Amino acid sequence: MNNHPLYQLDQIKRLVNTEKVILDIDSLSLPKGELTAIVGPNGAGKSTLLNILAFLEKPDQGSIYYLGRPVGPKDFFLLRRQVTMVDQSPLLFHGSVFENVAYGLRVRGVPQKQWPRRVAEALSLVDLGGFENRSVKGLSGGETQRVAIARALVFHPQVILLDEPTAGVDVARMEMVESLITDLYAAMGVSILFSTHNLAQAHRLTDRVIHLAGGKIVTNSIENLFGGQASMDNNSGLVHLKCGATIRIGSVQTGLVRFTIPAASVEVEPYSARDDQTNHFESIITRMELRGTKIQLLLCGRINLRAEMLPEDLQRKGLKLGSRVTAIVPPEVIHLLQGEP
Amino acid sequence: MTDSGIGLEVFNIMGVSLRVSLCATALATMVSVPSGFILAVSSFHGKRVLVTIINTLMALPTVVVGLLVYILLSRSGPLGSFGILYTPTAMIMGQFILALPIITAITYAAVSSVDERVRKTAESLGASPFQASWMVLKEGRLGIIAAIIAGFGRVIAEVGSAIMIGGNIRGYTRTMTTAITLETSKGNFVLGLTLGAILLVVALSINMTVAHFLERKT
Repeated sequence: MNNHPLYQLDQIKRLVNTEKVILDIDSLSLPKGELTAIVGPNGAGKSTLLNILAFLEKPDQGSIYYLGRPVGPKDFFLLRRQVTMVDQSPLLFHGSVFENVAYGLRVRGVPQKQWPRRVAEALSLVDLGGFENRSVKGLSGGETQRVAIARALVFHPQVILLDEPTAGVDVARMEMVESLITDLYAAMGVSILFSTHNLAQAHRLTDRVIHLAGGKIVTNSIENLFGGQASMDNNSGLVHLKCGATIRIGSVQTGLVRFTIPAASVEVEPYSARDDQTNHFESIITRMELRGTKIQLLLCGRINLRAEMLPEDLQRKGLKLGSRVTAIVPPEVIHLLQGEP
Repeated sequence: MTDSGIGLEVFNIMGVSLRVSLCATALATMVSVPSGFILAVSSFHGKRVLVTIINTLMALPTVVVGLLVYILLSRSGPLGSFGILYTPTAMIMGQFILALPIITAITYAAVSSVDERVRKTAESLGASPFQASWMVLKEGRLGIIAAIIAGFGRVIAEVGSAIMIGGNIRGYTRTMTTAITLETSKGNFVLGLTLGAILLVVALSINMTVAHFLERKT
């Protein structure tokens, strides 16, 4: 079993006109089989990063490893056959839905007699069964997007990259695309990465969020998203959460406040009655999953928190499923969301 | 000449016209479509100048082409030893030169106007560079077919080079256009107009066949 991360990017730089840096990543490791969101404002480098991960663009500097193997310039074409990307406004080729969805099979030389079955399977995954003979000319925006996703699914890729799949769409279509992403992730178990400028959406769909800004990674971890009302007490720095708990966020705010807490920064200690103080939350470990080299914990209490720990730390502290613990959130690890949707 | 004799002669003239023009268009397509495609997808120093030259050559006078080919093929010319002046082969050469810039320029325009996302989409679905290029060509096929039709239209209707290098030899190199010229000079306006109408009907039939084919395919 290959335990290498899906992607490992080291010292990656992408330049425009050989001088302006549009992507500058020191190190990025993405585990296999995850649903990952890449969040950032316009111009943050999301599409460039996705193009590099889809092997459609070569970085100007740095190294890429795919499933532990270094990727050389000659590997791009072969790896492109294992990874696929769907654009934010996907283009369908002229012709029928069948011709479009079968394209990936055609270029891979899959025997033609397999096409009808595989195209039908892919179309049923996106709830477009029976659309094979329809011309792409008459499709609605939502149908076009689903055909594009079916076209990407038909050759069973290892990774699906979605570039801003809900950019500029109405609420109904956004909900459709969101449920499609989560359904596909659950049904196919493939690695899915999608970019969005909508942080709330990213957190609705996944815990693993990469924040990009100015071409650099700001955070790359599993995060906990919270929102609440800042305390009216001057200079308290406290926020009253909807669940009734109070948390100190490290800076004085007014009104509604939204913030994230990286799972890796949540400290987990065996419970002690003396721990009843601000930012200490009594919890129970209700879920433990091995993700890469770390164990991801779900801590349930007055607030639910995701935390990450190394297996040896967990063992040293004698923690196991069902253990009563104290989750400690240092105020300095809290990332305030300002002006982000 | 009897009516049936005229009919047979017109049939023969039409055959020469179609054979020469279709051959010239087919040969020009084989050279011009790849050239126009490469020109559209590549970038190199002097590309704009080259495109301007090709666009200018679309207006190349047919008599100039006739003159150049005549010089090449005449007994004292560099290709004079082949002895092909006043043959259908020579006429194909002339029409090939006339069709070349038209098909190249329109193919260039057609491929340039294909959505840039076509190549990227094809590549992201696993297409090799050749397969992705083929898809770009396929998406621009309406424009490319228009280029071929325009090239054919130019050569079937030209008279200058056909008369200069074909010689308008009855039953051998006489085409619809050279026959119209001859009949007009003889004062046979009715026959000239009839031949003109037949030429238009032939062109219309070919265009309708292509249009029908396109409707079926898209």
